[in-house]
Amino acid sequence: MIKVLVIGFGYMGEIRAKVVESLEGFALVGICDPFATSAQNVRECPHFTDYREAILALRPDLTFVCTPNNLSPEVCVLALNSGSHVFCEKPPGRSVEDIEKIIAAERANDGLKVMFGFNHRHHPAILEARSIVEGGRLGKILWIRGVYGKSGGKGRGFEQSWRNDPSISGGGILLDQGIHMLDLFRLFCGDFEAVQGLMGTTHWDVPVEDNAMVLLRSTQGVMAQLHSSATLWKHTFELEIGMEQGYMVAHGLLSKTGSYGRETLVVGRRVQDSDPELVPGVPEEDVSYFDQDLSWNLQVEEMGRCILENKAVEDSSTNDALQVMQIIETIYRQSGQCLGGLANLQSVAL
Amino acid sequence: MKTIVSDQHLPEGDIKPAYQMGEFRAKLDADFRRFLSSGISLSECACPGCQSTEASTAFEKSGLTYLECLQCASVYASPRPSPDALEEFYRSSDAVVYWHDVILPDTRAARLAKIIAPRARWVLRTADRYLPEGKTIVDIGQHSSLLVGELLSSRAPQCSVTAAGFLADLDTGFVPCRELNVEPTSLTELSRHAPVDFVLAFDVIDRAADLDELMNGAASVLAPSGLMLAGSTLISGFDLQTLWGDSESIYPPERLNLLSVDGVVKLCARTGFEILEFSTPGVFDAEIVKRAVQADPSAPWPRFLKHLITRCDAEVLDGFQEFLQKYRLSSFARLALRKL
Repeated sequence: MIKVLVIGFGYMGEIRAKVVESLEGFALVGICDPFATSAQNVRECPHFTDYREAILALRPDLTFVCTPNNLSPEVCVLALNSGSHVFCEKPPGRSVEDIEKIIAAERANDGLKVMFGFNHRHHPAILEARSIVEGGRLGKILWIRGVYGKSGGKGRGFEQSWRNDPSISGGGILLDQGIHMLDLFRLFCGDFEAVQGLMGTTHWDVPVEDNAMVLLRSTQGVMAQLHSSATLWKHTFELEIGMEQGYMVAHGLLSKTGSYGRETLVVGRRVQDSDPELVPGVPEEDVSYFDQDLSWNLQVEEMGRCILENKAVEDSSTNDALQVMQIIETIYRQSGQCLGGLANLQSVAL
Repeated sequence: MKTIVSDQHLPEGDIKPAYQMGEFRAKLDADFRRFLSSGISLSECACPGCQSTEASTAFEKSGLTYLECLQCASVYASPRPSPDALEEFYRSSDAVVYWHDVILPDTRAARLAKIIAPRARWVLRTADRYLPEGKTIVDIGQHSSLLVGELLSSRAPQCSVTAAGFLADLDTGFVPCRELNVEPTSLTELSRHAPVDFVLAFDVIDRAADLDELMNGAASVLAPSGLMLAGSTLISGFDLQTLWGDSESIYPPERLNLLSVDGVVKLCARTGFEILEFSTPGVFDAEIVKRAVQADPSAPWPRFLKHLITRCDAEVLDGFQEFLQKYRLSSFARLALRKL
């Protein structure tokens, strides 16, 4: 039985606790959150307000780090140095330096596993798309394009969120949400060698970006484009993948509120000479509609296998987190010139 | 569970020419009435979907009574012939010969392009998604020679395929080749081919005299977590609900089990299969009803239905058919099931 401590009992911490309780082989042994009111809502397990005290008192096998970004590195490092495996929400801190601290602690504690919450990899449309790519029937990926954005909510509440306080979050919508799409780009295309980014604060009164436009090129030559936004008044998740023999479009996300729409995957085959009735550019399509999101469970189950079988973490690993943070930091470096006045973009090799 | 909607343009006449299908149905009706009057015994059965015995009479076709299950709304023939008697029927029916000798050759090209190739792509895509390492296939479908041939050309030489339907030898399209074993096998003996990764069961769920025997047979031959990929007629689909006992798509003995969506879900649950995909990618519902309305415009059709079918243009009907697919309301079901 893997004894689990959840540190940070906000939106994500509560999801993680529910997943842990639903899976065989895991036992929730404690919750830690400085705000007693939220901690009181949890199940019958000890709760703490200080994460150091919680880790030392419970000596968990696995610690879920669901804290704001500025706390994530130090909590991860303490958990690792105390002998606990770590599952940390994305982003893995505020900067490359933060993830490097976590990697150093991972290396210093041989055998302990670290995984990050890039759960979009396990959404049903993405799993289906991955199987199609791996099956090879549509050929190689030529390009990939993603739009991921939210409305920021009603009124001015969005502006008060810690997610828009750079001292806590380290960045804006790109780091908070766009990171998922960049992680998916890497999942499908491998590492990127070049990135150009442009971002701005276009609407909200916040000191971080509320929109980012990013162009990338992978080491294999695949081109990618991302729009990450906090001003999409209709919540949107859309990932298009252009391939030699067809294309796929993942649209919508199964989520707690359903606000991103029903999750679908469109698969179209490029019209061939053997399809005399079809007009080039107007292919037949299959649209898969998904009913169930098991992404939270699948990722935690994989973490359990890594721990119990002493397997290396290959999915959502520290390297995955490092690579995606390097992309984001590159964009932030470039766009530091852009905020408050557009500057010429520079191509930056990662 | 997921649902797949397929955007495909296929007039029913391309694969079921009206005149030939009329001939086929007439021959089948004559053959089957003769068969029933030959003194074979019929047995009553419970709902093949949910096993309930609460049912009311739905309609009669070719001398068989169809009941509607009061629990899951499936429709099924009861009483019905035994599996052995049905095999005997299929092996001596003139209608079956007509199907193989006339309809299949005439529609082969259209079937390959519009039905079989997309179905083969779906099989391969489903295999890639859920069992990419799978290599062994047992086919127990009827009229499945074209599909097996297409799969062999797509997936060979990685896969071994056994055509084990109880009428596999009759399917004249089978051309024995190195990769294909043709071994007609009764459902109760399917396990002798075990373990395999995939069972293909197109056009047999609605035809099986004993549906539990079919599902148990599939389970017995599958390896743990193996996949059963199937297609079947659904009574909850638009054209069958609209036309009911007047539907030309219901002709015994090829449509003994007309399950509803609910009936399929209950069947899978009680026979140890997890539903990975349940789609109704049928493309003929609206066209079939339109033809029926046009053939008998003075019948008491609901006004909106008549308006939709006769007044709206092709784009609206295409959109309506897509709606039926999206909400599992078409009358052809496609299933990807995993053995639990």
